[in-house]
Amino acid sequence: MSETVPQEALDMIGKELVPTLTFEVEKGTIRRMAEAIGDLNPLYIDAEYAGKSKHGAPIAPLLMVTTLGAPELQAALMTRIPVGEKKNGIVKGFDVEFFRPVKAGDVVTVTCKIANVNGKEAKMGFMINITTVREFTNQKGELVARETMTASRW
Amino acid sequence: MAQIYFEDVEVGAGLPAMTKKPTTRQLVKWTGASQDWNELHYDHNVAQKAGLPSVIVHGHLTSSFLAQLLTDWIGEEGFVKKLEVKWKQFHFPGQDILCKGKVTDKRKEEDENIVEVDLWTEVDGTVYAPHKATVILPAKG
Repeated sequence: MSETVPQEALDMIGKELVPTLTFEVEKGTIRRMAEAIGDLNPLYIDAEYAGKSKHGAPIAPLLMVTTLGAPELQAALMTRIPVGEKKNGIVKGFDVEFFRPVKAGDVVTVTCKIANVNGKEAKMGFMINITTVREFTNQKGELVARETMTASRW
Repeated sequence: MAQIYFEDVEVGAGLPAMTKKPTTRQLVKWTGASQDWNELHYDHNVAQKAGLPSVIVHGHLTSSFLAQLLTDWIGEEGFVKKLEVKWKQFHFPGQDILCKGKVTDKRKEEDENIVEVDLWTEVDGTVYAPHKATVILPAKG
């Protein structure tokens, strides 16, 4: 009999995978991330320059928003999905829609839901794929970004 | 940085390429900045036990290199609407990572000047991380 996705995993569709998280984004964090990338765009690291720009404050490098809560998501994908004895996990990418920049001083709230769970035979064996959708909103309740990601467990 | 305008973009044109040569120090900086404490990125022993020749560059850092290429090109008045990230192979510290891009489409949709761009990292001619971006560019005047 071929392997199937456990019903307990299928029952998680539509449910929260990671509790809502909140992150205060400040100019020091933005600067450290810009320096880690090696991207010294003055909009990220020069508070005076950024203050005079249309943003009014330093903004975060594009993908910084997706790093917020990412470790918690990775941990949950490895520990909270009932996949039996499958010990391996991998993420091969994700899609992000951006709606507005993240600025120094923003407080970003991150929600995470399981959008889909399915299974597929692959050369490494039967893989269970978990699709999550995370939404990032700022302190004004404005949607900043939406990330859709699929992780595989085998 | 000079601002690029929708009218100036030609389909098929390449973005100015950029080379990144990540070091283990850079991976540690990214670990601290992102709080991604996966040991594969900074503990050589853990990486080797996992069958890797060395620690590996964080996928998000690789994608941030490509995001830098893109945001430098679109200028302060451009806006990134969407990014599709794919990681096919791990990058390692010490590699010369060539970051490249190419315009694949441009069109007007309602009041937006949309440009589609393929982005990718390449080492010795092999594509490691193909991405796709949708951006909005300003019009002249």
